[in-house]
Amino acid sequence: MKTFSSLSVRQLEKKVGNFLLRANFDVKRGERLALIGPSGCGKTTLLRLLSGLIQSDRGEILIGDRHLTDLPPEKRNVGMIFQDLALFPQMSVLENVTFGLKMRDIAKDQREQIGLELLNRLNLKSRAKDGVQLLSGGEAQRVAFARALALKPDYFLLDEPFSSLDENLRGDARSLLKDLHAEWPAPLVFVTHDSRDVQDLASRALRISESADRSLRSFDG
Amino acid sequence: MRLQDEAIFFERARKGAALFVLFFLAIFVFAPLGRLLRETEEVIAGILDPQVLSAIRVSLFQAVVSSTLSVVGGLILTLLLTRARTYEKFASLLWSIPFSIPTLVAVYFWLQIIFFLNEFGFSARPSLFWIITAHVAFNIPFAALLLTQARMKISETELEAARTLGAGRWVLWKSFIFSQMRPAFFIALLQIYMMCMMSFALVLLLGGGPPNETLELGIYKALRAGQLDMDRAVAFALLQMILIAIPGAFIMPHLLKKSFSWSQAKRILPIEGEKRHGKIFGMLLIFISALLSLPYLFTSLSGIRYFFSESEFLFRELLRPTLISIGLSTATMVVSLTLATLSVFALQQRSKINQWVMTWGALPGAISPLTLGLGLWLLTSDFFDPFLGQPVFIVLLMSLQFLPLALRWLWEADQRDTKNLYGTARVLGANPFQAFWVSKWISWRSSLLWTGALIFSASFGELAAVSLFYSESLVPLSLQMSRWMGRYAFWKADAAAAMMILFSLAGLIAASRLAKSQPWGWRRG
Amino acid sequence: MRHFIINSLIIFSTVFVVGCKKSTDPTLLKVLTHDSMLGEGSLGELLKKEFETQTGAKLEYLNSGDAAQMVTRLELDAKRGQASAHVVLGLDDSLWARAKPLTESWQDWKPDQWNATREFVRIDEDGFLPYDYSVFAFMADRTLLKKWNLESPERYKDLLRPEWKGRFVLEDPRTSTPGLGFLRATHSVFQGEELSNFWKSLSEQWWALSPGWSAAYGIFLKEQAALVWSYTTSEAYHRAHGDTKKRYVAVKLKDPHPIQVEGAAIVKGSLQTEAQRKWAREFLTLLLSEKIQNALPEKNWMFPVRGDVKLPESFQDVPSPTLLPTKWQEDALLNDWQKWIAK
Repeated sequence: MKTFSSLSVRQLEKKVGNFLLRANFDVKRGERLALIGPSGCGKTTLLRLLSGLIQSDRGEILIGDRHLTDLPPEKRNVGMIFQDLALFPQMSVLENVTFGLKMRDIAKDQREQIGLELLNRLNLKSRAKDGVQLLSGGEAQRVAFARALALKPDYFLLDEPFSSLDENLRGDARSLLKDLHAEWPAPLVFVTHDSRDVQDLASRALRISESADRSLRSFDG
Repeated sequence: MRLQDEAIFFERARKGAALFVLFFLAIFVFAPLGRLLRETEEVIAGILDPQVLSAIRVSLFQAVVSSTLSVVGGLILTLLLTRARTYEKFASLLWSIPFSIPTLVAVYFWLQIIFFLNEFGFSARPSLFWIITAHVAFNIPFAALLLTQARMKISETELEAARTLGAGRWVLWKSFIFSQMRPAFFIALLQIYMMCMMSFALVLLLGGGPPNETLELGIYKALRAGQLDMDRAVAFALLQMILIAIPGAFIMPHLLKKSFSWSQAKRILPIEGEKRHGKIFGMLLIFISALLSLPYLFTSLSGIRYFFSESEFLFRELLRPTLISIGLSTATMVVSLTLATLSVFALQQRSKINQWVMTWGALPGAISPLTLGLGLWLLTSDFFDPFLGQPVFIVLLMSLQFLPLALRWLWEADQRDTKNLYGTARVLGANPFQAFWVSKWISWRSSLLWTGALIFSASFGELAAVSLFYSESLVPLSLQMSRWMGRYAFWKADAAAAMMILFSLAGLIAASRLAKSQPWGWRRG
Repeated sequence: MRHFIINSLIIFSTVFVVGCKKSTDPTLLKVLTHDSMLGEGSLGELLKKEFETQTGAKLEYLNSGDAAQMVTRLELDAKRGQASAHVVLGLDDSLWARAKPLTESWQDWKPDQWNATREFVRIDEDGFLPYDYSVFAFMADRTLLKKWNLESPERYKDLLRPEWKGRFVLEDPRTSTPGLGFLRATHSVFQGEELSNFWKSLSEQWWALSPGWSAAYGIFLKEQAALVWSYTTSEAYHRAHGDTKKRYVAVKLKDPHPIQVEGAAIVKGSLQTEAQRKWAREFLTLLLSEKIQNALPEKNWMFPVRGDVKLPESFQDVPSPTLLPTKWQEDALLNDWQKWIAK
C-alpha cells in the first residue's frame, strides 16, 4: 500500500530575467494546488523548477524526507503534463504510455501489460497501436494522463493541462482528472488561466504576489 | 549525476566544442588570411595596375547588376506566389533545384545556349552579358526562397486588419509587406552579390577571357595558369576581400540575427477574392520557375546516353575522376557537418566564447575559396608541394565554404520547439542523451540528412577549391569536366555533366526519403 | 594523459619517418613533362621504350599539366632545394628565359646530330636541346568562311574589319604559347601606338580569348568561329584524319608567322651520380635520333628539328610562310599588353 508524502517547497529562489521568483508552500497527499497569476509571471518556470528541468539558485524541494533539489528530472519520479501534451510523434499510443517504464528497464512484456491496463482504464485500448497524430484532442489528453500515471509518480505537475481542449471537452477532462487523482492521490500542482479549472479542481489556490518595484514575485502558502 | 554536475558537465562540453571550432577556424581561416594580409605592400603597389583596376571594375559591375536583377526577379516570383498560395510547395521545390545543381553543369547549359544561337545565325559569344545572364537566371530562385521565407513570417491577420481599416494595396505593400521584408531583401541582395564576386567557373567559361576577368579569376590565373605570379595573386585576393568585407560588414549582423533567432514561419493563408486569379498566377509562377530550374537537368541528363554507347570511355576516363569526387565530397560533407554540429551544440548556451563561434563561424561564407586557398598556399608551400596534389586542403576549403550554411540549417533544426518533448522525456526517466534521442533527434536527423546531401551535391561540382591544390593524379570530375569543355570533347563534358547530376540527384532523393522535412523552416499551421 | 602523449609521439614519428624523402633509385631517370607528351601512342611512350632498351635504365615520367606549370614546378622545387626530376621535356622557347637558371649547363658536351638541326631552332647553344618546332598560323574552316561570306585574311590587320566580328578565336598570351606567339607577331608588324590601338580594337572583335589552344580549337571545331590561331601542322592532322575535302586549311599570311621551338634540358642540382648524367645526356641525344625525329611529325604534329628527315604524306600541303625568328629573352611586351586590354 503506497503512502503519499507531502511535497514541500522551502524558500525556493530563482533569478529570472529582472525579477526574483520565490516559492514557499506545502502540498499534502490528495491535495490539488492551483497556481494563479498573469501570463509571464513565472508559473511555468516554477513548475520547471519543481520538475528539475531548471536548477534553482537557492532553497529546497522535498517529497517527505527525500531531498529532490539536486536531483535531475529522471530521478525525481514526477508525473508532468505540458501544455501541448508533448506526445512523442514518432511513437504509437502504447509506446508513449510505456516510455517511462522503458527508461526504468522494465521488461517489454511487463510494461506493455501495464500500459494496456491503463489504456483500458481510459477507454483507449483499441488505439494502442495507432500513431498519436491520429488522436483527437480528448484522446491525446487521456494518453498524456496515462503516460504520467504509468510511473506511479510521487507528485504531479500540470501546466495548463486543458488549454488544448475545446470548452465542451474540458468538463469531462476535469472529471477524469479528479477520478484518476482519487485513485492515485499524490500531491498535485497545476497552473491554469481558467477560473473554472480552479473552481472545479483546486483544493487550494495560490496567487502570485509581487513586490512594489516588481523585482520579487512569490508564491507563498 | 546531480543536477549541478549535469549542468557543469554540459557547460564544459559546450565550451570544449566552441574552443575546438574556434581553434579550427584559427588555423584554417585566420592564419591563411593573416598570411595574406602580410603582403599588403603588394596590394598598394599593384592597385594602379590597369589589369587590376579592370578586374575591380568588372567584378563590381557584374556582381552589382547580377544581384540587383536576381533580387528583383526573386521578388516578382514571391509576389506571384502570394497570389497563388496553393502552388507554394511545388514552387519551392523547383526553386531548390538550382541550388543543388553543380555550377559547372549550369555553365555548360549556358555555353550550349551560345552555341545554339550561333547555329541559327545570331552572333553570340562569351561576354559580360552572358556572365550576368547566367548569374541572374541561377540566383533568382535562391532570392525567391529567401524572400518567400520572409513573406511567410508576415501575419496575415495584421494585413487583414489593415484592410478592414481602409488600407489599399499600395499602402499594404509599402507600409506592411515590404517594410517587413526589407531586411530579407537586403540580405538576399548582399548574399547574391558576395556569391557573384566569388564566382569562378561561370566567369572562366562564359567571360570569353580578358578583359572580362574578375578578381577571383585573376587569383587562379596568377597561380595555376601560365607563370606563377604570387604578388599579383595576393593583390587580387586582398582586393576581393575588401570588396566583399565592406558590404559584408553591413549585412553580417543581420544575417546572423536572422539565422540564429528563431521565428515561427506562419503559413500563408488564402485570402478570399484572390482565389479567382490564383490559377493564372500559379501557372505563370510554375512556368517561370520551371524555366529557371529544369533546363539544367535536361541538358545534363542527355549525356546519359554516352554511358551506354561509350562504355569503354566510362571506365577508362570517367570512373577515376568520379571516384575522386565521391571521396572529396564525402569527406567535405563529414567535416562540414561535424564542425556545424559542434558549433550548434556550443551555441545552445549563451556565453562569450560561444558568441564568437556564432560570429566567426559565418565568416568563411564571406571569403572566396581561392582567397583562402592562396593564404594556405603561402603558409604551406615551403613544406607541402601544392603541385603534388593536396586533397586535405581541398576538403578543408570546401568544408569551410559550406560551414555557414550547415551551421544555419542545423541551428534552425535545433531551435524547433521541442522543449516540452525533451522535458517530458526527462521527467519520464530519460537521461539527457536518451531525451535528446526521442525529442530533438527527429528534427536534427532530417536536417543532417538534407544538409549533408546538399553539401555533397554542391561540393561535387565545386571547381574553385579544387583548382589550386589538384595534381595530375588528383583530378576530380569537376576539373576534368571543365578541361573537356575547354578541349574539343564536348560529348565527354556531356557525359561528365550527366554523371554529376546523377550523383547530385541521388543524394537529394536519398536524403528526402530518409528525412521528414526540409530545413527551410516551413511550419505548417 | 600520459598514454595519449606517448601514443601520439609514436604515431607522429612513424608518419615522419615514413614520410621522409626516400633515397632515389640510382638506376632511375625521372623526366618532368606535360600531359600532351604522355598517354597511349604518344611520343613519350616511344621515348621511354627506346631509352630503356638502349640504356638498361628505367625511366619515369612526372606529369605537370601544362608547360608553364612545369616551369613553375621547377621554380618551387628549386626554392625547396628538392629537385623532383632529372630532365625536363617539353620546354618551349617562350619559357626558356624562366627555365634557364634552373637547368644545367652542358659545358663541353653537345649531343650527337646537333649539327644536323636547323639553325633557327638552336635558340641557345648551351643547355636547351630542341627536338621539334612548329609554325603558328590561322586554321580556317572553309565551310564557315563560305557560309558567312568571308575571305581568308591576308594580314593581321584584316581581323579588324567589321565582317570578322565574333568570327575568330585567339589564345591568351599570358597563359598560352600560341597566344604569346601571336602577340609577338603583331609586335613585329605594328609599332608603338599602332600596336596598342590594334589590340584595343581586336578585343572587340574576337569570339573569345581562350586560356589555351585546346579551348580555342574546341570552339573552332564546334563551328563557333571560322578562324582559330593554331599551327600550320594542324592542317596535316586533319588530312591524316579524313579531311580529304580540305575543309580545314592553314592560312598563309603576308605578315610573318611566329614559331615555337620545343626542347629539353637537364635540371640543375638533380643529378647525383655520373651514371645519371650519362643517362640524362643519352636521353637528350635520343631526342635527335633518326627514329624519334621520324616519329615526331605524326605523334606531336610538329616539324622535326633535323633538316635531313623526310616528312610524311600528310605534311606535303602544309604552307611555308615567312617565319619570325624566335626570341626567348624576356621583355615588357606582355606587361604592356595587359594595360592595353584592360577595360
